[in-house]
Amino acid sequence: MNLGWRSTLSRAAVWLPLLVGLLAWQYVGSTSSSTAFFFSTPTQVLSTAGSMLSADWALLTDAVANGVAPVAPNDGLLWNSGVTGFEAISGFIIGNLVGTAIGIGLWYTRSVARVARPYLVALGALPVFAIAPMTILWFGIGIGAKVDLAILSTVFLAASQAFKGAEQVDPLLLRRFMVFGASRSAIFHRLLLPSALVWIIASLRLTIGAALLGAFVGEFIASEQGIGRIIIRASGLYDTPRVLVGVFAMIAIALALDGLVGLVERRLFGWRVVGGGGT
Amino acid sequence: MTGRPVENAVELRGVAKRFDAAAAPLFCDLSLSIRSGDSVAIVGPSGCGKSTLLNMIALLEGADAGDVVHHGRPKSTRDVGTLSLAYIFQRDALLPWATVLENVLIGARCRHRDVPEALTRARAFLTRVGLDGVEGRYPSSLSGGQRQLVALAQNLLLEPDLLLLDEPFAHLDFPSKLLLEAELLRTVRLARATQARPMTMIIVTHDIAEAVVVADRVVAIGGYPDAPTGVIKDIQIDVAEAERDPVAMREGTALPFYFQETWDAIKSFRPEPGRAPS
Repeated sequence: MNLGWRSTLSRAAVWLPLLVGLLAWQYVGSTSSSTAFFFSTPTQVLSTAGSMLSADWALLTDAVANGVAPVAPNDGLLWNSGVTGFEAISGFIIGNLVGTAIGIGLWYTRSVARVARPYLVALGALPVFAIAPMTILWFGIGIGAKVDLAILSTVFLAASQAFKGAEQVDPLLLRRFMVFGASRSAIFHRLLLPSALVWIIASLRLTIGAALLGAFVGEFIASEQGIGRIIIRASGLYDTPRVLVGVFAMIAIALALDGLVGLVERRLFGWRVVGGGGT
Repeated sequence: MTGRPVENAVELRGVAKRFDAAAAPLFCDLSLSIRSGDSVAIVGPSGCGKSTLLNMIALLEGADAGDVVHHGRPKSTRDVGTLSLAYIFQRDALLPWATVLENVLIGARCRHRDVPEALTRARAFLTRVGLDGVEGRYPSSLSGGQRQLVALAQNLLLEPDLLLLDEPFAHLDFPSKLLLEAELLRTVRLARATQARPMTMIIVTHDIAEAVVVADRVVAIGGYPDAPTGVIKDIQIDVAEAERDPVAMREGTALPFYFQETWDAIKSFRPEPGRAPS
């Protein structure tokens, strides 16, 4: 029983800094009109979010009642979050799939890997912002262009992570499989892939931010919809509450993606729990 | 015993090995024959090339010169995986993400054996060694001794003609070591009784007592780094099968006798620079 309220308390304690921060923010934002202009207040942000949600509601009722398809630039919070989330997640999935395939392929062809490694590192280190303006020429300004940018910002990182993962294969296990006369495909799916999985999952976690940044940068450069567009327009109008709503929406998307990766991780790594029961 | 001469399961013919051109050779013109169906222990100090010797026999590493011969046929590293061979490493090479049962079955799956049949035998083996309660667990939750038992099951399930063990119990606590030695003896005896073809066992260890307990021939090697590693002493252990018990032997008179004989040879051995002992 003693432990019961202790754990409840410690769980509640996690929210304490947030609560204090919000209160302090509200206080600072209310002291003068200039601080309100610079920092806004939680209540203002909330009311802006509310008005954006009602724009979502209007879009929905229009679509359902009158059969009017939502038109692209609009003010809906969920709509625009969905657009950015879709771009980021598509780029994230494609980038990681392609990158992982490249990385593991490199493990099989060491001579190619030696040549490719520095290029991978260089391309992986390139900030996607630097090439974003050119990508308008390459990919256009549609949603596809944002997906492409999200892919570009994840694929190289995913490739070098997967390659590193494949290199981490326990040489003793490799010998064990060789002695057993395992075929190349058996070595691949029974040893290489499971060994590299830890690194691939780490790559998923690392590339969440990268994919989101890719989508965001794409919207920032040129777009008709998405959180990036909302933020850049609101910044231009010095509409601080709206900028902050966009920021929180980005955080929510990132957390959702992280939660998704966490689910996958728990599913794949049951064996890491010591004494974990199996089937 | 049949009247016809027993063939050699493994022969090393004039094997030479060095790790890089600058280093002194590890082996130079080493020859060793191991008869089919024998249990041979190779003892020697750390770093004298025991594991390399075993790896060469397993065809995981190639010899610079000389032949590694299995049943009369010279083999190369290209033939790895084609031999009916099982290899238990110093560190258990279990897949951390697979359950105990899956680990035991890995060899059967890789060799495309009849998996349902292997499953039945795997369960029987695990039950016999008292691991039937943990077949669904992951290796990380087992003790070192249990893990080596799983490795033993994994390898013996393949009914190998040749069983190689590289210091299999070196990392275990003493009681586990005794239990595992007994289990190895029992398992090998059972495998020999049920398998159609004779099973040859080669165990590498630095523990002379262990060598005497589990093998019927002990080969002491040494030399490196002052001289290429060679055979210092090669003795037969004449102990009846029924008296082979790790605990009883450690209290009896046979073990101290063979221990002393081996130890004397190792102690009085002085490597001659550049020349392998013979």
